[in-house]
Amino acid sequence: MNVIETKDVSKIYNPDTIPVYALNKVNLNFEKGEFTAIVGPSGSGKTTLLNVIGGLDDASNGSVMIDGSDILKLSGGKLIDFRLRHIGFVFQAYNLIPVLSAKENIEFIMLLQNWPTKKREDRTKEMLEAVGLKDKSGSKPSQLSGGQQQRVAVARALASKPRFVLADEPTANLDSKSAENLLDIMLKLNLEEHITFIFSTHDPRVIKRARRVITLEDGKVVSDIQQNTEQELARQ
Amino acid sequence: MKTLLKIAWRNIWRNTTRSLVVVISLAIGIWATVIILAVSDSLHMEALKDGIEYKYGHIQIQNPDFIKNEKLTITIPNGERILKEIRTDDEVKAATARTEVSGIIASAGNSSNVILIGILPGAEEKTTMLKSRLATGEYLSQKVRNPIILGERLAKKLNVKPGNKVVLGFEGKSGELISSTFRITGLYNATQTRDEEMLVYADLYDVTKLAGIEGQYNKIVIKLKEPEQLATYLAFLQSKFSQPDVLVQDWRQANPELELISDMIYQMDIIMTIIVLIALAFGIVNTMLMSILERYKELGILMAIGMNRRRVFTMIVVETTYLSILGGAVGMLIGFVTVSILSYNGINLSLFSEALSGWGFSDVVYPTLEPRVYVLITVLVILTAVLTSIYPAVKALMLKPNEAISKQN
Ligand SMILES: Nc1ncnc2c1ncn2[C@@H]1O[C@H](COP(=O)(O)OP(=O)(O)OP(=O)(O)O)[C@@H](O)[C@H]1O
Ligand SMILES: [Mg+2]
Repeated sequence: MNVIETKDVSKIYNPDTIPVYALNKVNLNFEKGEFTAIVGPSGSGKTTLLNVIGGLDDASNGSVMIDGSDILKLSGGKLIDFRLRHIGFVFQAYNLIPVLSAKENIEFIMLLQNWPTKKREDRTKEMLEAVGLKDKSGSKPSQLSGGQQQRVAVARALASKPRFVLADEPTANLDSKSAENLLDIMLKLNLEEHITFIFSTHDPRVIKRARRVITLEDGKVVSDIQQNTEQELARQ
Repeated sequence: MKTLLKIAWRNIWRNTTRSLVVVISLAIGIWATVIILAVSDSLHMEALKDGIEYKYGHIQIQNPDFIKNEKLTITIPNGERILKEIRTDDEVKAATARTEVSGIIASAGNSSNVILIGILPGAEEKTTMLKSRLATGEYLSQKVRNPIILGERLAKKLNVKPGNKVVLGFEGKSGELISSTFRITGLYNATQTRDEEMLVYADLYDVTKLAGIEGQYNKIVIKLKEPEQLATYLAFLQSKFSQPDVLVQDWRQANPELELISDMIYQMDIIMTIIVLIALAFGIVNTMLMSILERYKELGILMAIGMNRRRVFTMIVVETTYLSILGGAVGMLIGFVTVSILSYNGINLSLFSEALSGWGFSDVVYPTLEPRVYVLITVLVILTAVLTSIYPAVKALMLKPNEAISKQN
């Protein structure tokens, strides 16, 4: 079952002067439970693709079907609500609300979604444990390392059980050990919770962990391959 | 919503210095407004109270021509009868009659322009508090011929004291100059320096006899038992004496300068308050815009992950409201304390009294402020803060999450 379907999605900057094709007729399907890396050189359109899929940016042409409806046609307020209900986001940096503790950050989206207290607290605890930050629950983002902050961001994105999680270079600001660690956690949650992950990256070690790798160049999909993850390779 | 309030509250403490600057400037603004309003209000009340208690009573009756042309001979027809009738009314605490004429007073060494007021000593004492203002000597005493009382300032200027003689000159019945010797029995103090220099009081009987208008009055002054009855009793008198040569007015109508003072003070109060509010509004807009600019990325991420416009808007308005409530509370508190101290000790305005006394203000004021004025100021300040926060909040709404997030800073 497809979670996301893009049809001929193009994004053109400066159409009247010197047009830049940030995305050029992108046709992609994403299925439930995918763990997919979007790769490609700088300027190839990775961020643009994730933003368009996530409803943070509009496209010049095409459609992005999520659950049978075209999110490019949703109006501002509905789009924000759609993002809140169905999409988890992890950004490269500044993900967390600085004045809230790790626990409160994880709770945040569930609070916006009006989860009942008990359910929310159980889920928060579960996620804190899943990302290995049980003992940091009361810490403010400024008291956490970069890797820990990204783990909280992943926990927050997943806590409300979205349809899929979009992560634009989630490991870009991390050292390789923290990056590996974050990927471990993402992969584990992907398997346990069957949540679709789509992330962009430049890091070859991160790319190795993905089950599907989509390569963009000048806004075009130039390759789309399935591969076995390291774990799966190890198991065989 | 609870989370939103929590985030907003914590957000304002992220930049403690800036928040404190806002809180303190709000507090100072409110404090200044409170003090200004308290002082002007008490000056105002003082002037009005002074007017009623010492000079005008509640109701005045005079011949309308006397207002246009202040001549001793323009009197109230049947004044004696009217006075007698009024005294029998239940509403009336006391009533008295006066003559008023401008003239010149002279001592051995100096002279001065004055207004000579002829009073009925006994009735005046019951109607106004003139007698209580005597500083030295005695009230108009029957023991001497032509007794007179002067303000202390005038006495100083003329270099006279009780027991001394002064000569008064004023225009008589047919325009002739009447000049007569009076003996000072006492000196009085007035809250208004101008009064103390200008008003001299003699026995109405002596004045009317000298002028040849015995038994006639220029004014009847009425003090009521209950000030609340003013409107109804005034209407009653006005219909009772609805004749062209008798004019019944309350103290306000009879003394348009009091109305002028009220209006002037009221307008000044409004202008001062508006100035303070505008200054506050600019400060708040500035601060909130800065705080939004600093949080551009963060707000972008909040909106990306699903915080809707209404919530972002609310958060920023709530942040401003917190700051203004804090500032408001501090300002009110120090304002209240300052006013309390001042109302106990008084403020000596004698430095400005030359200017102020012309408007009928006293030297020392004891500022007080009605609770509802405190409430009004607080409400106005908070309202201003919340209204002005709308602009930065709308600015925050206009940001595009993807652009805000990718913005380099
Ligand atoms: N606001 C904009 N105006 C004009 N061109 C833009 C704008 N945003 C992006 N682009 C262009 O669109 C193209 C794709 O940009 P995008 O940010 O998606 O690349 P990317 O693959 O994420 O690159 P990186 O690896 O450096 O993050 C680039 O050529 C970029 O210059
Ligand atoms: Mg990018």
